[in-house]
Amino acid sequence: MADQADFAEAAMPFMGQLFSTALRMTRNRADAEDLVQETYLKGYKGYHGFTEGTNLRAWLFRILTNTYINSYRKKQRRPDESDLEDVEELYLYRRLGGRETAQLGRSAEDELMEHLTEAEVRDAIEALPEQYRLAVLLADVEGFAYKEIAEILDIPIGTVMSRLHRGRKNLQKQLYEFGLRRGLVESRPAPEPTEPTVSVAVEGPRS
Amino acid sequence: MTNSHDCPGVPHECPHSRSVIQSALDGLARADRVEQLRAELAHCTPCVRALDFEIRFRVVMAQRCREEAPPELQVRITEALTTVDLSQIDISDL
Repeated sequence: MADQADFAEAAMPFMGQLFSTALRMTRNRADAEDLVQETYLKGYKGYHGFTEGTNLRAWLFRILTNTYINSYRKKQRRPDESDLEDVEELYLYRRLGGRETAQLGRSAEDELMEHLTEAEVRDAIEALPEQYRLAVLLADVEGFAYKEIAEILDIPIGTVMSRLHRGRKNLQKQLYEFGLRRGLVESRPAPEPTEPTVSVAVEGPRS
Repeated sequence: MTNSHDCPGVPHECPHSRSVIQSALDGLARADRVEQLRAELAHCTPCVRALDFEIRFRVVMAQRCREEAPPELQVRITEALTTVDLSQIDISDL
């Protein structure tokens, strides 16, 4: 059983990560600050139920996620349960991987990844439907393992993996479209699935 | 473990590369673990490139998505922990 007196010292180092995730969840700074504060108050009150030596960071993220789902989502009145269109495997890699740009030694993925702005990446993540967004934030931004995410979101590990898989592919599609609009990448279809792509930098027909 | 006969040379068609990529993205990527997974795909250059691409994509996502908390938030929370009436806080969803 954990001692409430130790809570602040143990939990405060995670505030930055919790805030960053809260901001992508609520899409609003004031709500994100309130959400993090509520997470700490709940954590403080319920700290006696936390088993010392287990994962405090995951425990706090579970409180954050539950609080968001149970109160902030309702407040924001975002149904946000729309499903995602099906996107092919390795979306960005199939379009950019191994292709060279005009500049010597620069690959198309270097170009795109270096020039995408923070705002574009955030917009793309925030545009994901909630169930996919939460999984992507916890896995790819916070680096939680699939098993930990299953515990945080209280869903089976297979569901975590399928949400992540679909969320990541859709994120890549959106970022590719940002890249197209800004002229960072050229429009071209992905190589045919059956085409052996041992040789790279083959230009497909323009769409 | 697969070999070159199982891999069509196209990462998204290779079941082994799909599971290796999924495994590489499970938790924080450790350099030794990534090296081990890369070795499992060593027979197929496109599969290794796809693995590296997905890892790199994830690093870029995480870097661009981080945001600092405002310094006053910690002060506000520390204060709230001592002043807020905890009986008003519902922890039924903990």
